[in-house]
Amino acid sequence: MDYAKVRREKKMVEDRVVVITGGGRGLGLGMARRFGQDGAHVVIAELDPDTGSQAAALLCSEGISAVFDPLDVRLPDQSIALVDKLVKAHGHIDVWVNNAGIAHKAPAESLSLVAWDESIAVMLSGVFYCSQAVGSQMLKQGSGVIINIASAGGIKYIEGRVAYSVPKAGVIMLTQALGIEWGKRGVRVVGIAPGVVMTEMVQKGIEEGTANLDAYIRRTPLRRLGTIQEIAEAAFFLASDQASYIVGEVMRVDGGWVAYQLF
Amino acid sequence: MSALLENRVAIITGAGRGIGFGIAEVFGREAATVVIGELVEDRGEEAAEKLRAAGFRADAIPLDVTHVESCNQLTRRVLAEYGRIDILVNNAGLFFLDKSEDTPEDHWRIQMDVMLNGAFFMTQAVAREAMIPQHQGAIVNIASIGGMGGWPMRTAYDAAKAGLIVLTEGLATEWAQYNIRINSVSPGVCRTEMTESLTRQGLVSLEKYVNRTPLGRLAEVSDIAEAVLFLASDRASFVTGENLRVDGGWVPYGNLYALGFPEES
Repeated sequence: MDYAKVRREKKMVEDRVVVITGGGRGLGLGMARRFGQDGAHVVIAELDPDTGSQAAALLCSEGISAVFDPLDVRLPDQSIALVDKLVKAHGHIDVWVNNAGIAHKAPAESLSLVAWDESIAVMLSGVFYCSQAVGSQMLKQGSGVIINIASAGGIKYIEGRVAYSVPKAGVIMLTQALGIEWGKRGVRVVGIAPGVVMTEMVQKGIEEGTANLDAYIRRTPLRRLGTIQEIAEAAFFLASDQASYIVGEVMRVDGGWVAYQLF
Repeated sequence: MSALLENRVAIITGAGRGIGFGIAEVFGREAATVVIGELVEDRGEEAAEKLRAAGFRADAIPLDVTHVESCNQLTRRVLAEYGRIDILVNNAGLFFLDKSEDTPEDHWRIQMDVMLNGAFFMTQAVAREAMIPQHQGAIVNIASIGGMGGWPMRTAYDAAKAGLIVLTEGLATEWAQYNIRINSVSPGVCRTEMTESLTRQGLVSLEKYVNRTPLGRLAEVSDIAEAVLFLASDRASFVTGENLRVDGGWVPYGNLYALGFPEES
């Protein structure tokens, strides 16, 4: 084995096109930065134009090749149009991260149906629409990686999170389904189940008193929250050729949360 | 790109060949000091020599994981020589294909002894002597897709591997307080000396395994080794208690058009 050659090949292709839905902040922005630092061109696909354009500008100021494109993942026409546009501009899309999410919290008996429908639309149907749009293109290319951001909450349930946990659980099976359907044709579909990570979303919950930082820390065997970089690193690994036999798998990056049968 | 395991001391059990040796190569490439724990002394020495010839730091120490004292001795020797132990990979394994009603007692016991008991005692020694005092360490257990579901004629192997998966979860929760991360990797069917020898004996058909795998190919040793490297490195600093499938989609596949198992046809 030529070890020097193996190490050189580990550097990713420079012209990778990487799309991150909900890439304007939090985990999405962190993943965009990680791929961008490796030389990829990153597309911040974001619902909120201010958040999206600010994120792209921030990454550009760090020397990363980044652009903002508006995307509402609930509307299939939009993901189809974005894929078309990117293929016309670049000729290929190499990595697509389904990250956009929304956290409605309410007891199951009183959760508003609007909140339920929105959660399913963004975190389950939206993931499928985007995957179908970009998957068709990747199948044509014969290559590509789709990474779905699931959640430890899609595996272990906490009261009040029905609107969040159910679509996240669905996305785990969706990852397995698409991974199996498309694996042989060069398109790898994988996922990550983060535990509690210190993002703007969690920070806001702590400030508003709807999330309890101490409880999160006590519940996590590693006794701390995860960092955005730690999730980004996992995404970067799963997108790489080093993970080429990992298909339909959702990797937990949760500090031991799911493994822990707390009593 | 800087090496991922610079200044790390890693023990890999059963690293004389197969997946274990593949892990040793990748760890060496990433600048770790690799200690091969191997039952067959010559095989361990040869493997270490190959690694050194490639410019890596490597050593072989005889190890029988079924003897607690052997695990303790190896641990003490590595500590005396290198001063610390950062990574342990419990890889040593063996496999018998037996009808469960006819499984000889020694086949059952040796598979449990090597892959479950051995992994535990090796882990215990390394954690107690090195990783807990250091407040730092990463352990990766080589489990199997067999440990994630039923499979005829592989009861002992699969039960040992299933045990190893839960052992991983338990120790991850118990030793997280010492900053020790413990994960497992569950490989799919991998092209190794072991599987090729089973094929030569006509016991299994690799072609049928390929057809059963959604990705349409067997795992290569490097596929498994790179996943182990990721988990053992600081890149996975928030990953613990995880069982990472590296299986080409095998486990979640429902396989409606199952062809049956090679040994049944």
